[in-house]
Amino acid sequence: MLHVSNLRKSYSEGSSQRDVLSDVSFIINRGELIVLLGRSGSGKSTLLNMISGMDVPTTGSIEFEGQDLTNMSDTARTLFRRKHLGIIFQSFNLIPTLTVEENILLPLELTGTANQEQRQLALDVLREVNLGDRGDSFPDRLSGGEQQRVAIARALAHKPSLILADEPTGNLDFRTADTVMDILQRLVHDERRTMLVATHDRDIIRLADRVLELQGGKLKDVTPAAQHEAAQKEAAQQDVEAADNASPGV
Amino acid sequence: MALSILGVALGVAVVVGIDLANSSARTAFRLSTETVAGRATHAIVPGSGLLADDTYRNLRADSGLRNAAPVLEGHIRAGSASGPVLQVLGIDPLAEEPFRSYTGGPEGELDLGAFLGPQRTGLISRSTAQGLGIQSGDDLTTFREGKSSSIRILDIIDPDPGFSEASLENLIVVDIATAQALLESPGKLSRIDLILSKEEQGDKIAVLEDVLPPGARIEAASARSSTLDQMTQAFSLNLTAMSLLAMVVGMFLIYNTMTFSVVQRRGLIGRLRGIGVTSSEIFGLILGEAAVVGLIGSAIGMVAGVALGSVLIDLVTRSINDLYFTVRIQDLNITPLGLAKGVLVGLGTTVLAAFAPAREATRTMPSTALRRSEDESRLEARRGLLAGSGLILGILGALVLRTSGESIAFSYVGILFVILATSLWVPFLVDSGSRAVRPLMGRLFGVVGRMAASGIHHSLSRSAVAIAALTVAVAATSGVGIMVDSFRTTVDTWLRYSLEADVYISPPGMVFRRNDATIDTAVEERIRSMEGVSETYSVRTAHVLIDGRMSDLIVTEPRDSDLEPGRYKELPDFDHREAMTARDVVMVSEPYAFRFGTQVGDFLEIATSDGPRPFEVGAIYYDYASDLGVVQMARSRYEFHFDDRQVSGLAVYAADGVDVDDLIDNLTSVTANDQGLLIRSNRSLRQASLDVFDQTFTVTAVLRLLTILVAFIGVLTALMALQLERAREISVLRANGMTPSQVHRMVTTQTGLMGLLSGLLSVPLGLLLAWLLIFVINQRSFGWTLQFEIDLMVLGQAVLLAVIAALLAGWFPGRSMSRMNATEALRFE
Amino acid sequence: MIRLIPLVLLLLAVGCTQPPDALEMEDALNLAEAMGGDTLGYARAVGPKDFDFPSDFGAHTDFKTEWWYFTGNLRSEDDRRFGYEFTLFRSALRPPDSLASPSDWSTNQLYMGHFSLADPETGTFHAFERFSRGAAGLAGAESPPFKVWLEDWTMESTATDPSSLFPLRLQVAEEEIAIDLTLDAVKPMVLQGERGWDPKGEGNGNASYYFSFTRIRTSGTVTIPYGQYDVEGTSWKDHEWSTSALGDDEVGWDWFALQLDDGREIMFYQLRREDGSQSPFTGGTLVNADGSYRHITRDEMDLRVEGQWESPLSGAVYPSGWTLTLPGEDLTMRVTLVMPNQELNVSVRYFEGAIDVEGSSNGEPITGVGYVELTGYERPTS
Repeated sequence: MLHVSNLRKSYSEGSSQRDVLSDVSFIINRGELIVLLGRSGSGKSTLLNMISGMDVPTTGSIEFEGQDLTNMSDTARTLFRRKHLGIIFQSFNLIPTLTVEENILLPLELTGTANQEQRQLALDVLREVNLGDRGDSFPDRLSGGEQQRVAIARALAHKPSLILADEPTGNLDFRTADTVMDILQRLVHDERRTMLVATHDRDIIRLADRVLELQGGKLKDVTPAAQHEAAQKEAAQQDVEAADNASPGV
Repeated sequence: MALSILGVALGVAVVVGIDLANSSARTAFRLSTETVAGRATHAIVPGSGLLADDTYRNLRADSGLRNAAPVLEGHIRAGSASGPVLQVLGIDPLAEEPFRSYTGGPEGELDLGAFLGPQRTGLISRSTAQGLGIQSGDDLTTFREGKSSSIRILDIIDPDPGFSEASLENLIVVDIATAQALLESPGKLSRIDLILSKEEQGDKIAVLEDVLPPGARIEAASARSSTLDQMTQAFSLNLTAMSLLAMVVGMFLIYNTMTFSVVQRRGLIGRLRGIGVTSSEIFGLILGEAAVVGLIGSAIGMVAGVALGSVLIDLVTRSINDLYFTVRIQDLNITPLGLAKGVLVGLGTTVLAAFAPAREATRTMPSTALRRSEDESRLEARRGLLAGSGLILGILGALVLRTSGESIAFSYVGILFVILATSLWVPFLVDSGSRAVRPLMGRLFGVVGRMAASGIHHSLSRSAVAIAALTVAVAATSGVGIMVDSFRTTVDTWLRYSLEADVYISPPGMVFRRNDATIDTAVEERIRSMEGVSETYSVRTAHVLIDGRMSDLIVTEPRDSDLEPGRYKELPDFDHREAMTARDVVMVSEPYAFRFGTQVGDFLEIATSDGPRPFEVGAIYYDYASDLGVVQMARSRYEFHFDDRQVSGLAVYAADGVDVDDLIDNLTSVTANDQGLLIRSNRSLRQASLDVFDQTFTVTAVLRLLTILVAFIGVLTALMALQLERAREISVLRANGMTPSQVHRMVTTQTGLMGLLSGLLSVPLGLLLAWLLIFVINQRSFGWTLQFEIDLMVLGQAVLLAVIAALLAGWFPGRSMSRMNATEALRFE
Repeated sequence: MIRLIPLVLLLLAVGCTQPPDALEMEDALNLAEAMGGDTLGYARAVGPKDFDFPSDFGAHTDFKTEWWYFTGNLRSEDDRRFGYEFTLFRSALRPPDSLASPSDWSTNQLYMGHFSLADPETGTFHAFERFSRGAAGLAGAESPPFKVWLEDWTMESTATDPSSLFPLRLQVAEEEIAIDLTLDAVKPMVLQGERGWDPKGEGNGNASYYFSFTRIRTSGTVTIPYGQYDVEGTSWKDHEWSTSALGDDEVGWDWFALQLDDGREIMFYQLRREDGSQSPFTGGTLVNADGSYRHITRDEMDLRVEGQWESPLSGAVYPSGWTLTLPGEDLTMRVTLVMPNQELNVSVRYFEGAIDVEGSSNGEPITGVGYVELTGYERPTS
């Protein structure tokens, strides 16, 4: 469904060029849950910006449902995004001047096609995230967890092909994160929707089909999640042993 | 920050410009009276008209009076009938020495024979000569009351050291003989200047007063210029008030900008507090910043103000010229004081407006920055409190207006309170208004509309201030506009019923509204007896001493329409028209009654040709020609008491079947050779009067425009601040599929809604201001009764103006918001 | 005698030819210069003429210059001595023309008045000057009845017969100094020169019409800051008019009016030339007690200067004493000033001094009073 080929994004700093992303290629298939790993500065945000169509690469292509995003105008990409993408941000990013219901319907409202059926759909999604009664409230009345749930609902309401999420549980406490996790699992994973998540959350990684790791702008590894976890465990084990050997008589 | 400097600069420019124009105009009169008064301590002035010149001879020859100088003054136009006005100063060079000196180089000598002789000769200053394009030795053609003459320029004079070049500007010094010939006043003087030492004053004045002719009196020199000042006091005060309004609007602007800059640097401030900077130091920092903005803005404003002033001085002097008295057009007089005032105003209001934001800054906790939303919720919570204080302030304002009595300055203070009170209501009203209108906006514009409406009350601290500024500015404009329209309608109505004759004839005069020029008697005869003329009524305008003040006396012949009650404010219980011809009864105009507290039944002491006489006030009539106030007397009484038989104007009725335009042509051809008269139809005289009216208000139009401009900048800064703060929100919207043009439309809808709210709020405030201007300010300035005309067009235009101003202000921020890279504020980490 | 405004001598070509530069119109209005100037267009005294009195007592406006001059020596009851001079000058600013003006103030005539009072007892010399235009009733000269005035300085006939000059009244006041005198001539008029035509320089028309009343009984009051005094004494009157009387080379004159106690009067003037020599036009008149008179030529009179006085104000050095001898009449007169400083420092500067005469006639001692006028002694302006 999503083909990323030879993606390169570079910025000029003075006389030299700096590559934020270089030669990134991968495929995401329908129904997959992919986790994107990488430290700060690894180019994660840039990659997500490209895929969502909010930015364009220097070279390379991004093919989404058969259409090349890199050849489209800003407005075309926006419309595309509006139709096919759902985005969940780390800091909720609800529109404060819209009610919860209006926030959820935002993409549809922007298209101007929010008819009765779709409204019903939105309410359904809201109920799915257990906020069915909060439709008329404004975001500043909701707690952090509630806001994130609304954000998820918004990302799903227009039935997008691909959902992008950036640290969806990053700002939440353990308990709330759990709830959100549940929802993600239920509404995304179980429904076999395609999702690309940037996260460090172990539970999400465990759910993932594959793990993409970015290091210094290059795609380092593309491993199945289970393998990744195993690899992590092993790495951790080695660290402990090394520590033991290093300090005698403890 | 640059925009706020611009806003301050504009406000200061307006204040400085008006102030300079006003003070320059005042300096012009002062200079002209001072130059002309010289070192005289007193003057012998006539009761009415001019002094007989044998008074001077008697004083010299019989009373042995030494330090006395005869003066005959007047005005002429140089070059052509519409050429520049020159003040004629007729003197006796032999008596002048202690009074005035015009010094110059070591070479020149006055050709006394040429100066005193029968040929008309004169002296002018260098700059006047340059201005007229003539030199010493040239002949200057002069025009007065439709007749032309010629003066040979004998020499160039320079002013006394200590007097500026400006004191001789547009002045021509001639011999008394030349002046009497030129001004057609043989045997007359304007006054006799005296220098009386302190010791002499008491006795000498008493002795002299005994030998003076009836009606003449001795006046101290200082009294004369203060009279001129008083005449225009109301006029210049009102102008100043308008200019200060621009500054008030500017205050909103500053408040917004300073608040924004505080918010922007919240993090910095927090860190500063963290490293130990005290809150009072923060306070000082913000205020200091405001002071710098104020200083730079004031500096730019001063320069702009000087430029503006030189445009306005022309308008102001011309208005004064048309309304009050002749003034020689002067260049702008830039005084350090005037500029200092501008800086003070600019700096003062900036610091004042920055006060609240500075205080806010001190509340920043050292640890984390307060969330922006908490600011907002604080304002939202406070809006009720603000509205309450607005109410109190409004009541206070009403009290001030009530108790300020006659003081115009205090009335403006009251109005200021009212304006501020309304501003305090804005947060509450805007909040409720935007909430209420949200569903409608949604229906009209979809989600964009809803966001626009909510956006307003969501960032109330930004939007309310911008809306307040725009509301005040638009309300001021529409308020003044309604006042001017009401005024104009009243004047127009009055002109329609006052001007009944077909043709109006008068000699061209220097002051449109107080023309005391005269029509040649022979010419008058010819007009009266001309074929096609059925009736003629004369008017005489004279300047006469009434109750110790020089006032305008209008002398008219009675007409049937005089009895129409609609013309009168107050009538006696007898036939006043009959009384005015039978006894010593006069009428006074409404402004006169206002200025001097005159009522029907009071007595006025009028200095007639044979001494002062009491005249009973029979009626008070409406008159919009002059705010100085006039007294009206019947011709027959006038001729009985005064030696003057001249007329200043004739109102002519065409005979049946005679075409008015033909009549005008005939009249023109019959009189043209003797005296160039203004012969106008009823319609064109009415138009000319309205033109003068309109021109007077040109100044206010300029000011209104500038005030809107300041408000515009205020709105612009608010929107730009909003833009910066919504960057993240915009990104989210874009991420969710909002196209750039949709973003633009959202911003536009929001600013449009803000404009609409401003416009709607400006309507009641504008009406209130108009009411206050008409019934308080005007009443206390001039005493006129004006019809309150609420022109819905004006109000509609005000709302439209607000919307357009807001849309325009929003265009640029909207565009840059839409162009914003969607990823800018968004971080995926 | 000739009493010309000294600065006429300067004859500056002023007026039209000056470059149009800025103007001086204060203090010394350079009136004297205004009164000088071009002499074209005026009537000139070209020869003797028949006078027409009383109208010739008045002004002759077609001539450029004219004056009515009175001097006198007065004594109060307690023998306090005073000397006075009161002169009204008329000067035409422009030649006569036919231009008219609707204003009374328009005029071609300028009037100047000089009044001086010598008070030898206190050693004070008061001198005043006034100007006025000859129009609008401010100044003028008329006859009959005779009246010459400048504002409130008046010379006016008080005779019941309007054509009569005497008795006349002089009234002058300035600050605290005033005189109010009644004058009556005791001797008939003396026509100076040739029947009243008195040539003074080379060239046609360098002459004046000139007559005098050489002995006039005077009484009235003199007011000074200390008080008012009743006085009596003798006055002298000159009336002269001309257009440029002096020749080009003449710089000034010394003029004497002596009233001797034997009833005779002597008028004598010495015209001084540039090179210091005496002009041939020097001369005078001797009036006998019976009123008959004859011309005195310069050869008949021997004039010697007996002293000098330098003015602290102007720096001019004036002669301060003389001996006049008329050998033909066996008359020797020592002339001394009643007080040294009698210089008038007004817009024209000259010396007008009351004098005492002491001498002998035919061996008999005689005394007398009189006045001396000295002009043209200023230091030349650099």
